[in-house]
Amino acid sequence: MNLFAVRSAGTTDRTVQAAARLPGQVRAQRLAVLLILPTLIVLVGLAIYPTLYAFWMSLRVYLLYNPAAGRFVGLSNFAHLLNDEFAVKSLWLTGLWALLVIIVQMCFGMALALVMDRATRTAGLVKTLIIVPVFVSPIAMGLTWRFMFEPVSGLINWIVRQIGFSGSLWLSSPSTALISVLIADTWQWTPFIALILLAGIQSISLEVAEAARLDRVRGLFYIRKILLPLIWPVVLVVVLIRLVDSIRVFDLFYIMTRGGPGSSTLVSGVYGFTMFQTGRLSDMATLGIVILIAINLLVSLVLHLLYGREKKGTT
Amino acid sequence: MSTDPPESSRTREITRRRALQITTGASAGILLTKLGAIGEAIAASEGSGTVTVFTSAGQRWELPERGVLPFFEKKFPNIKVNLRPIPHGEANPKIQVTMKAKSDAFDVVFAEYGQWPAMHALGALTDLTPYLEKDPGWRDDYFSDVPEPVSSLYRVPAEAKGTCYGLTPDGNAEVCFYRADIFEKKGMKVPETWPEVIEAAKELHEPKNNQYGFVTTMRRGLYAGWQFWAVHASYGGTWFDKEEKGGWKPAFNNDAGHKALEVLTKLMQYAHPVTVNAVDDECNAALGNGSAVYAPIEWGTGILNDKSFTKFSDVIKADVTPKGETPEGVHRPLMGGLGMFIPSYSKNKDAAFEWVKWCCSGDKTDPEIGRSWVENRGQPARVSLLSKYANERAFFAGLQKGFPKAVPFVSLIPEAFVISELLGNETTEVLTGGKSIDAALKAMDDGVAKVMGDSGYYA
Amino acid sequence: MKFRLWKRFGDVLACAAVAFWLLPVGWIALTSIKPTTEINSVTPVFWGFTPTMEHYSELFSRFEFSRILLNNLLIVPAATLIVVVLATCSAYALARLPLKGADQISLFILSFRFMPGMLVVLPYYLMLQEVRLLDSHLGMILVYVAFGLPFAVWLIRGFLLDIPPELEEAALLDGLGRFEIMWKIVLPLVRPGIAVATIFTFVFTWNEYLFAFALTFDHAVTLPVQLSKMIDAYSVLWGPLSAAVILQLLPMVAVVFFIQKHMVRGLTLGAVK
Repeated sequence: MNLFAVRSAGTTDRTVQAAARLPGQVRAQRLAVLLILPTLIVLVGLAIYPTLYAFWMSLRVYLLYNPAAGRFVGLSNFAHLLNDEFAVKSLWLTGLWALLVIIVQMCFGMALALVMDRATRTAGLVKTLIIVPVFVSPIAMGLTWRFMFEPVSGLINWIVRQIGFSGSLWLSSPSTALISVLIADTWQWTPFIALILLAGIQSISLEVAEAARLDRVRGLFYIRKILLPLIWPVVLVVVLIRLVDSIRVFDLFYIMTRGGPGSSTLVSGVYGFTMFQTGRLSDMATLGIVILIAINLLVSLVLHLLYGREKKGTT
Repeated sequence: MSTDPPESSRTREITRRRALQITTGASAGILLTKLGAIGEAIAASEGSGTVTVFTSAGQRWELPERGVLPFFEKKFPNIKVNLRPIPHGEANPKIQVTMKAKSDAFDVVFAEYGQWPAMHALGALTDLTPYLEKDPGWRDDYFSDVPEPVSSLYRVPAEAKGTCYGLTPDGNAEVCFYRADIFEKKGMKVPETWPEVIEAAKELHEPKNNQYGFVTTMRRGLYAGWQFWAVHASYGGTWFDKEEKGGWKPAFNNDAGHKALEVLTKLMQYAHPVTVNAVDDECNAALGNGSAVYAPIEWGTGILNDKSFTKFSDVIKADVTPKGETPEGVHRPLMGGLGMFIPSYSKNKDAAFEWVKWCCSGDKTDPEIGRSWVENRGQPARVSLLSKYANERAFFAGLQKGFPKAVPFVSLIPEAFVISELLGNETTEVLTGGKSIDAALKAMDDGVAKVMGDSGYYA
Repeated sequence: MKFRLWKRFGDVLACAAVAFWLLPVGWIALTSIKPTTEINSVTPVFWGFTPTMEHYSELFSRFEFSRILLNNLLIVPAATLIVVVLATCSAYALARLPLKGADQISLFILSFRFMPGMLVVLPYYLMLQEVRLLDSHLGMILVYVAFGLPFAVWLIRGFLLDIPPELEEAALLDGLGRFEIMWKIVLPLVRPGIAVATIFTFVFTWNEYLFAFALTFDHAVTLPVQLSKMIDAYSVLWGPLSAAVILQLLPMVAVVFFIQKHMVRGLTLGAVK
């Protein structure tokens, strides 16, 4: 399925034309409007208005601790943001984080999906248990990981030392902090990715799988040349979901490091929150607008990729 | 099957339909609003004596209030107190937003004294003088029992002559925690000056035995900022050249500031790994599990003497924080503490004041107040209570020593927290990012100057 | 022969992977019954302590777990239900009915999924304050509906587009009304998609932190915010925290176990023909 199917493309004008030909078209249109109106009302009220408000805030100076200093400054907030070394660093870190998340979690997810594909008798149990991490509150999980990553008394270093290596500083060093948070995030989300990929893998028709087996097409070759192209739309959808969520990440970083040590895990969500905490609301709105634009650009890019693949005809 | 109605009536149909939908939507919206208002009204009309208290969750604030609540209810049966605890780390921005929005949701707010200037600027504070005048005996008892440096923090301006906008049942200062048993074993005495501290940390540093010589809260932002300020203050430093018109120039890029960053950099060599991004709970956990044995500057807390928290509760002792070795060096522990104010938007100020008065009362009003406040992990600001319970709470002695010398942990201006955040970020850049001390100090001065300039102090 | 062995080995491998993956959860369970002084120990403690239920009781007394759980149970299912109903309706309109500009509207709706939370937190606060819905169940439900709708609409619409239009054409020609078609023919086919949307919305709303923290004080506090209260100013209360996690997990796992059949079918996304 193409989640981004455009009605006039994939399914072609057929639907629209067909509907136009059919009796009761006016009734249908009315029904359509009725059905979609509640959604649009909610979204207009609770999504458009706040965005416009945030836009307006980003064009002013708005300090919670000093209401008298409020004044219109146009786009100078954005210029100011570019000069803020921490803001720039946060944007760069967010991009790095998104990239790492996608690469690591897609690989692990695929591996886990392939393993789970092999489990035939315990399939139900495996799938139920593996989804558990997704349900644990990120707050609780973040704290637990912070506890486990504690260099001196934490569980992880204890295990590492038992094996024979010397422990790492994990969250307590600027060089390893981001990786540590990545481990926590991967633990939480990979099962979710794996389940979706598993569904994709398992829907490859049995004939294809049998044919491959008979032709002795196995292992990496099978994965690259046959499996991946077939589940490519699924993969792209998952990539998109994780991309957007990883750019908007906040909970985990807030609980585990709050941006530290130093500024090594200062992703945009955390930095924006710091601005909120110190009352610099206009700066926070500015950063938010920048992130919004960035996300929209990236998604358009991925969508373009998706359509590109589709047009080349993979089915 | 229906046939399509002719053109004109069809459009009328659509318009009618759409109009109906819009009215339905609008009515739904209005209904929702009304529902909310009705709910609010129902809540408010439950007796004119409902006091909603915004308080920080947990020890020191929420728990002691819950402790004294039963006695209050006995004395004032017509007043209902609703405690609304918020995690302490999130309290500040919430208070600011709530007061900015002129909300009447709270009748009492239990907030850090650093908030007072910002609250005053918003016009959110209520002058308590008329209420205090109704009971001169209580008022005099309070102001004689709570040290002046502490009670003045809740005045605007923050001096004895200022208008009283808040009362406090809570006091805190930074103390020096150390493991008395290990110090005794090594024949060490508690260091006085920072060079001695560095020597002691080096002596105590035995990573192979899971023992680290130094720990404090160095998380980026506010925490690191306050620790930098603590050391800076102990070298005689200040935030500004003078805190009055014509002054307000930042005073960090000087000898005191330089020494402060040097000391911190040197101490990080002997630091427990969590230090570099620690907040209080991680710091206390390290002290509590015994892997950190010396914390020369750390916010006071009773938890380290709590048997149910740590096995070392008997041997962790508190003393006053170190001073700089230079002639300007002084013992100047940072002072914390939260106080209660009544938002000017509250609709129930009289009842609110009764609650504030109750919590800030000492033994004179009712011995139960003091006892249950302390028993429920409170940290009183009243010296009488600190002395009375010094045996049960070992670090009360440290607090008592510290209060007369203490310095506020922020300058009392609305920009306090933005500046603390800035100082902290620069400090952690030095400690972890390899930024040079001079560059950091310059950035501090420049950054603070910009904040002050934006706020109009240099006009 | 080799195939069967690999299959059995596959079961073992999968179970091992799952067990390894769930180690942290096991650690949490262990922590929830350890006395605090054992939790605060330099080397991890696995046995040799007397288990205690004090954390669980503290969870219910001091942290009012039942009240907060009730809040979650009031807010989250309501929000999820409203989201799914509205989303199904809108998705049907967008995918099947002759609506002008359907594609543009779809993309427009989807773009709200991309909004960073920090952008809208303050406007939401002020808006809810205006209508006096701050720190209320209704307010939180509204916010979660707004945030859950885009993704649900998008998801269900995708599933709907997969269903061949011929089905509906035939039904129309047979004389069925539009609404009947939607209710009796299309919706049953899209049930897996609805199941997926329900689970996604439920989970994301249940664990949502930013809005819950920013827009509530005490009355409508949900579990994640209450958990964050266990970060006391001076220590993290690992005991009650772990207990809360375990108590939350058990019903969730039960629910998933029953729904996961539908879920996987739904997750197929029909991508592979």
